Amino acid sequence: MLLIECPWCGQRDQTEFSAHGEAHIARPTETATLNDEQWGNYVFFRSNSKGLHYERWTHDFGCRRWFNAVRDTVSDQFLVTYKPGEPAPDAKQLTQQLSDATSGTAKVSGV
Amino acid sequence: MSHVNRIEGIGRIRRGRAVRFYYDGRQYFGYEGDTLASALLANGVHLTGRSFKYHRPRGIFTAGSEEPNAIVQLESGAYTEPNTRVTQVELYEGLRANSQNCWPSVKYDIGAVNSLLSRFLPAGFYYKTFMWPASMWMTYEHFIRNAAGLGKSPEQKDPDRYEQLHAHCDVLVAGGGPAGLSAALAAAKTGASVIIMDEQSEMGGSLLASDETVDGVTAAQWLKTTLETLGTYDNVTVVPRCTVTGYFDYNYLTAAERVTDHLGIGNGGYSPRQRFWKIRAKRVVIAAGAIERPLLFKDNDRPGVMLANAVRTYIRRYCVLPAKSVCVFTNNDSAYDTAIAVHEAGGAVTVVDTRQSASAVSVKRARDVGITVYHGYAVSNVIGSRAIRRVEIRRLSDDAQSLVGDPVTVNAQVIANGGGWNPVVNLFSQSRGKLRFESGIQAFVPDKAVAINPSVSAGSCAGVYDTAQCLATGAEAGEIAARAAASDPKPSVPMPQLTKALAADAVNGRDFYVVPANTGAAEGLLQKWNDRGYSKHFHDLQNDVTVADIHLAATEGYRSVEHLKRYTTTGMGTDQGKTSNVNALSIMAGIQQTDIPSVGTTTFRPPYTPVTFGAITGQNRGELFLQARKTPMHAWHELNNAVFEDVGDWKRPWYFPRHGETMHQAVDREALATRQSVGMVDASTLGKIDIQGADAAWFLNMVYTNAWLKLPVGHCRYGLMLNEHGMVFDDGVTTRLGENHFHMTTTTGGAARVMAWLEEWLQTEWPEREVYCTSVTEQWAVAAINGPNARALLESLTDEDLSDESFPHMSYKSMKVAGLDARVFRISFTGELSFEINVSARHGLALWEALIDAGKAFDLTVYGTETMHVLRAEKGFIIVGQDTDGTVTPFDLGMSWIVNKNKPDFLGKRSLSRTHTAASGRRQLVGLLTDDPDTVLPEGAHLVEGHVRRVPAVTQGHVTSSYMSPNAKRSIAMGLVTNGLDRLGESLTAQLMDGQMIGVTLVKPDFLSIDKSPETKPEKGQ
Amino acid sequence: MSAQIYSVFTTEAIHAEPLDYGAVSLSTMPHCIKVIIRGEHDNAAFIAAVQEATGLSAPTRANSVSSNDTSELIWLGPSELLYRLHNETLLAGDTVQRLQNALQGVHSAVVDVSDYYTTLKLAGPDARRVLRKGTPLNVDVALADGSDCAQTRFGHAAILLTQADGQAEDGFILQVRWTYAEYLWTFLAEAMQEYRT
Repeated sequence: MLLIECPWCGQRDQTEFSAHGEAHIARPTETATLNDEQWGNYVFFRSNSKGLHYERWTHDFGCRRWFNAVRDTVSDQFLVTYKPGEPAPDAKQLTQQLSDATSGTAKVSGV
Repeated sequence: MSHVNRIEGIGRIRRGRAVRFYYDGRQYFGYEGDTLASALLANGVHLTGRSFKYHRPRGIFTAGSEEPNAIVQLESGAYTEPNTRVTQVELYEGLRANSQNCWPSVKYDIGAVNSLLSRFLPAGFYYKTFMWPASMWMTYEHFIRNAAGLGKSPEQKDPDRYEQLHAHCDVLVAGGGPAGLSAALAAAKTGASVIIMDEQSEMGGSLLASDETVDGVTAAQWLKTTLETLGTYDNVTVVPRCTVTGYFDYNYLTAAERVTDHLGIGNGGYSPRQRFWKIRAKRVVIAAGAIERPLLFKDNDRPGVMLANAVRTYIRRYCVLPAKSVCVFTNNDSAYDTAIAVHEAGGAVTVVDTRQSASAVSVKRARDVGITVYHGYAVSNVIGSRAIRRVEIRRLSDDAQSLVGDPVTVNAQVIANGGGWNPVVNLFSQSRGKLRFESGIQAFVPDKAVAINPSVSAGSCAGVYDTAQCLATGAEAGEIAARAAASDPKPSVPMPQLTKALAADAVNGRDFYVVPANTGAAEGLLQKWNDRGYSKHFHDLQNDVTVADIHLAATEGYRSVEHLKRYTTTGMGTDQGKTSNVNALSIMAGIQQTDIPSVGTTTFRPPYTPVTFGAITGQNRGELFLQARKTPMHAWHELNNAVFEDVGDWKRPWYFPRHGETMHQAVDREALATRQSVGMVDASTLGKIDIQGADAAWFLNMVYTNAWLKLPVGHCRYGLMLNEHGMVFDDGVTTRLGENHFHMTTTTGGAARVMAWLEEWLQTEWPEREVYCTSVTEQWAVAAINGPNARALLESLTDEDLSDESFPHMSYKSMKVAGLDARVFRISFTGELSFEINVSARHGLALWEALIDAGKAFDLTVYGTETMHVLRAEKGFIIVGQDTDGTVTPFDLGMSWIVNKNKPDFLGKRSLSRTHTAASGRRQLVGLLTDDPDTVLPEGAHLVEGHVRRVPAVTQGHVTSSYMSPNAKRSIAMGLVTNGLDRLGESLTAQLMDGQMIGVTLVKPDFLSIDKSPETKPEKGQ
Repeated sequence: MSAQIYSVFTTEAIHAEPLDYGAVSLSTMPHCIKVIIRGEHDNAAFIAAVQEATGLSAPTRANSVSSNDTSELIWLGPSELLYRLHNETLLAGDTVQRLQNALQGVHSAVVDVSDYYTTLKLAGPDARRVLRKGTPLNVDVALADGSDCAQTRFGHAAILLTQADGQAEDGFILQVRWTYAEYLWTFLAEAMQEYRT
């Protein structure tokens, strides 16, 4: 059972949230000019990544706001959550952060 | 009272309090503080059941939750619970338990014939035998289930109450033995909030049966003092009788507390029977202890073969000496404590040690008190079936690969079997922590935790077996955990495990697991399955799996431990192989001539011990299973005989039968009366959304398919919403209350979905747009009046001008109705003259009753959802979710008029022109008239071409809505049919499951031509 | 009859009698005016107008509440406030009008939800523990350090949790869509069973 950091309300239980798939997929503006393939890419295709996944969540039972998260689909670890409109965090930095954490080289405070 | 095995002493029982109980119908007595197991043993009862596959007699094997053998059916009727471990059942007055797996009785068991046929029940037996033909599988299954017969599920409703409880803490300590208690104490001292749980009836773990000196005092005294100290901390919660059963991500753990089980049936007062904890812990200290592992020898499953520490526990904690003469069979030092305990209890004891020599303190102590010790020997034979009569031992060869010399007979009725210890790494493994095999102690220990599940293991579950070391590692773990929780509350890095040097050797001596069987040459098929005489070396007692079974599986090519487990069913019983898994791995390693880590280990899964469904369900049963949402007028509906229908979580009146009417008669009456005079329906459940802002009209223009920018204030418009695939997902009427203010309605079931859909676009794609949406579904009560007299009825309750000129179709007015502030919408879902009257929810019933009173003059008829559906279907109006299913475009519905092609964009627009969506051959909504006007098609029926029944048939589509229409005076239906809109006038046949073939004609879905009022086509022409 | 029944479904209890087991008690709160005020919390004009109309400083920190003797402004989201006003002589419509007037020309929305929600009060030394039977929220953290309210889940119901006035230790107000009120009441009553004597 995940523990998710709502950018507004703080850490809350997973059951207060719902997931909505991949984030940062902007809706095309000039939809009429797109061919079937271009439109199909927007509607149907997702990265389905192993590892870092940028995804959207809503805090349904809380502030009802949408927000974005980066989650490692291998370990189920949330690396960061951020408000819509904020830039997507850099994948390289996050990967480094993840490897530091799992290799134990990150600072272990209080131990 | 015949407590043949009860001895002097106090232990943890209360001798002044005798407790009566019944086992297999016979009355016995025990004491408060006894478990069912200790009380049975005190009464001389060893035989407690028959085994799963071979129905061999079995007895109590352990003193804890790892018990594989002695599981019983507890109580009867609604209170019955199968597969209960007698070692965990606390004795209470009047307890009744019955043995399982045996018929007609535990002593004379007909299934025991399986034992004689054991050569026909090898590994993979079920797979091999019950394979063919497939049609027989149901028969086989019945046979297998009956023969297997693990307890019986209760057949009556559970009368007990259960609850879930969420908890949060800095440090959760799983296990209340010496390590856990000192961890809790150390953590508590830092001020951390601590929860400590233990599965037993009292805290203490191994200390409850210890004669050790701990911190300079007796174990009992240390325990008492420590618990008193913990009691002085407000930040500590101590929970006995509570098993931490699961360890999930982000340190979310579940625990099952048996709150009142020990009080007996009906004695729990207002407390729940069991409580299911859901705990979020910043840090976890696992102090789950270790489970002794048995040595494997021929007939090691006989009643009377027990784990060495269990024998010690029965003696010291329960004052029960399981037999006057005990043979301790071991490969390590720890079992010598058991020998001493037996000796001190006045029993005769012989130690059989597989090691050639041993010199530990406990060994020396045993010799000093005169206990006979056979070094380099092993148990070679057990004489006796339902009880041990005597034991034969033989010398081991130097390489321990065979038995040599003549058997020596040892007089013993109990074998205390101690083959070393397995740390309980289950929780750690569940948390996705990696295990490491420590060859020094021949056991898996915790190695690496994952970042999001920070835990630290302490005490014997970390491979630390010495009590002083358990206290030390516990204290260290408790403090580390508490400090980490304080400084790094959001787990981000893995917690390092303690790196205590694990003392090799003394505990496990040598890696000896299986007593060799000396058998000679091959003896054909029998020999193959018996595999050198190991067919009575049981390593999994609950599932009756032997060393020979693993040999066989290996012979047949099973090498992966996961496959081996499933093929042989090793570790797949209710005990999850707590006493068998590592032995199975060692056997596999022996066969593959490799070491245990190379064989690997299976995955540990929750729950650690079985949890009742009641506890998992908690409060979510009965009326709390699903909330029942009711409208403000619900009380009136109930008083007026409404039959209710569940629509989502709403209770909606379905129809209102009068004087014994059938549903059909009631609906006929309601539908006719509405079109003839006036009918009223409670429409409060419709979703309602208040939309405000400078960009509100722009927004509606994007989410609906039709044009909204120029809708005049005070007017209403019907809209269809599409998803980005171009498929219809909701509809409703939206009204412009002001220049920048709209009132949207949605379907009842779609309310939450539409609200989420609007918010998604506003929050994520168009945050710069000035639009705010607020759900107001529950703010408004809605009465919809429909029919030629609707205007006259409303006029009788308001001074407002309701004429067509002043209040045209598809418009809105704010007015007083029956003295109440109301928003009135002249919109129609029936094709009749209609008004939807909205008042504050608090006033809904008052409005309703005012309308009922005023309606008497117009023969007002109240109708429910069924009539509502009939009325709209008569006009061919769709119901989203019934006539659509997520694959239907507006064009498929024949509603091209509602798609504004001049708008540059709206959600789903581009998909409508996708090659696939625009192609012909799509299912389209049409009306269906049966050849026989009295036949009502079943909804869902498939339509085929021709009149000849064919299987398989090529479907042309299916029926989506179907009713008997009293106004059309015939049956009516709608359906989605391939190219349906081009096929009007054609005939198809509904081919039903029962063989009926019903001819239908495709028509325009407008089944009435009763008037030409504007409401006939409510949406067009706006 | 009508007045009697309609009062039953919203503001008064569905189970009309309050429950009081000493360690914990449950009752319904009187009906009050409730208004959703939408507007961006980083919009100074919006904040000023809300203050002007309500006399309360608008809470812009997540899950905080501003209140005086008769009214509360509750943070519901970064662009959403709830105004609760306990005044039997005022009409909701007038309150909405007053807010709309103050917010004229400011990107905002004002919506009367007085009848949308109902409120229950759970009080007593063991109220927290009863709450924990239905909510995964860590109440001790969520209602501490300047956080005065929390929106969360109790069973299947979405609730807004605030502390009852001046009783930080043992009193909670639970606001819920009124169609969930019967469910919530039944759940709480069940959760309180163990405190019966």
